[in-house]
Amino acid sequence: MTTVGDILDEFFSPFSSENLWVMPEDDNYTKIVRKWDPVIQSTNRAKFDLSANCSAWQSSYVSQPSWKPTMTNTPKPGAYRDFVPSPPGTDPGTCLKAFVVYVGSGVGKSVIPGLSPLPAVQTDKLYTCSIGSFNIYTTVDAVDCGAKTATMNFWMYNAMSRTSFGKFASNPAFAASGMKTQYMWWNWVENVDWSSGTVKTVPKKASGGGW
Amino acid sequence: MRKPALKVLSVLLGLAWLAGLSPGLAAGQAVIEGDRSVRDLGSVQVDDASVRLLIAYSGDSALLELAVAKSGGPERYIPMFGSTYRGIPSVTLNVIVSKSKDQLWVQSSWPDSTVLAYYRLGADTATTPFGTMGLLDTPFPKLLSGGPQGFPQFDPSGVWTLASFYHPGDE
Repeated sequence: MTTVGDILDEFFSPFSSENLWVMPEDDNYTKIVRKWDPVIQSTNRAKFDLSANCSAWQSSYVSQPSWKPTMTNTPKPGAYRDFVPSPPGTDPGTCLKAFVVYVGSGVGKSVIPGLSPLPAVQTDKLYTCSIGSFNIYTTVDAVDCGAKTATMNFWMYNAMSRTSFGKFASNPAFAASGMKTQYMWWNWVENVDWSSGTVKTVPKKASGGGW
Repeated sequence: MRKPALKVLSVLLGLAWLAGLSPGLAAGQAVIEGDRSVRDLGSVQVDDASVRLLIAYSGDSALLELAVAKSGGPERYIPMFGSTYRGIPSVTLNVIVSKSKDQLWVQSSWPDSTVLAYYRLGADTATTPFGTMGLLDTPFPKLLSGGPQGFPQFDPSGVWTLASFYHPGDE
């Protein structure tokens, strides 16, 4: 399970190195981003486009099993894409509050030996603030335009980079910080059905069998 | 195993950043408003149309774009790549023009993204990695949604590379 603290610690560490974070559907971080309103709206746009342009998806946006996420900023080929710059709630003011909570709990954990087993407080805001802008690349694992059903495969991407920090990257406070780029990918699959005229997400069966 | 001292240092550094966060400007960027700025990568003239390559920076994102204007009219924008950090990776961009000077392509050096834009000069739409779309009135769209559906191919004997621009990357 991935925590945002893991990623932030790596980014700000003096010994920071570039890392690829791939978070599958059952990862804690993926569950959090899927509940985030800008992500819900983004996936809804992809679902609507699929229902309106099914044949284009069938010919152009089919999942390629050989594709794997890498430490790159260049676009994922052959996918529908949704670019969401600076979504609401990721402004510095909002994020500062989430960070204060995290810092406060982290300091307490460090200076009071008895608290060491306690986890630092990582709010959902801290998780989404640490993403900010994102791209979601969507393909179909399976699609039936006649039946109006599909299995959609979402890959959400964000890079946390030194350039995210503007002129403060050169602030002396960061002299000890590595700030190496962290490449983050979240992946999940949804079954959808728009035969009624409205796109509906079909709950997965407990056995996880898909269609 | 986490190291608590390292963790505290990390979060304090993060707090220092957030307390004063205001994205800075690299050389060559013009301030638009607030945290928005534009870097001009270069421009060319195709008869009476001007064509400019630019990066629009906003918040923690950047958008690589083509701007077109005809006969001194207002610029309109064609998005080519949205970045989730305030920068664009290193890239060489070639502006390719048909010999009849009525079509142009922007070709990138990135793998799998060879062509990033196609535009028929004077048209109100362009072909982009987000599909065929109307030209934008602003270089700072709230979001972009769509998918590539193939760019018109060009016959190498019927075009020439009008200009090449190199962006070294923002890191």
